[in-house]
Amino acid sequence: MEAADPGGTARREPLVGRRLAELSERQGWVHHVVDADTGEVLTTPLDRPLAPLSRAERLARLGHRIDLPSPWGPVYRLTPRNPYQAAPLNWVTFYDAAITLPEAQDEVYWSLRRTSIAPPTCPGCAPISTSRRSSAASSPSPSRRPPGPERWGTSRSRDRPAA
Amino acid sequence: MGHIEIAGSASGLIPVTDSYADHTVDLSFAPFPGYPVEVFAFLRAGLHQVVFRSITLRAERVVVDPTRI
Repeated sequence: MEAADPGGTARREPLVGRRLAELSERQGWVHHVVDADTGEVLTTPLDRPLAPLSRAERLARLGHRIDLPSPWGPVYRLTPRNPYQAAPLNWVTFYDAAITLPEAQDEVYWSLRRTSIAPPTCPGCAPISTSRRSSAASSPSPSRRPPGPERWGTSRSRDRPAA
Repeated sequence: MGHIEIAGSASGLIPVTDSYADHTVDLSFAPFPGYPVEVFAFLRAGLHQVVFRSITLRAERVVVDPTRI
């Protein structure tokens, strides 16, 4: 008896994997530096993978000084295979992914139709969210809530287990 | 051209060209004191295939602006 595959992942995975393999033949690299307080975005196409010195230089253009060779403070990394950590409490949630952890890789795929346009209020159009909860907080500032149905992203995040 | 929209505690609009590329986004913001940090990424029109690999979180040092003291 075969395992249930309601999402058709087993059928999609070879097709999407092949398509991504084809695209990766023309791989490029891009570095975006975003000051989310001002909305300023610096986008730099690169001809090779991102390197730490030039990365720090671009961050400095927006007023962020990065001490090299090592950054200060602890760094926490979340991946599809390790999306949750208890201390400090952080997690990442994926919505409407086409494929999660294909062939044991630590990745999530989204495959979107070329004609699809995600409206701002579409409840299924927020594929990634990450949260870091402070002990005193219960909800974000109204001015900082995401566009669209405000309870959608935040309420799902709160369904995650507490530390 | 497509976009990835960042929303929630931080906001920004990341441009994504037609070519397949590895995008690194360095996103910095000042969290609202006393509230949880929640960041959302919305895939907007123009994107066809998206692969997510990781997110790295780090708290920056507190910098006091002497002009505001």
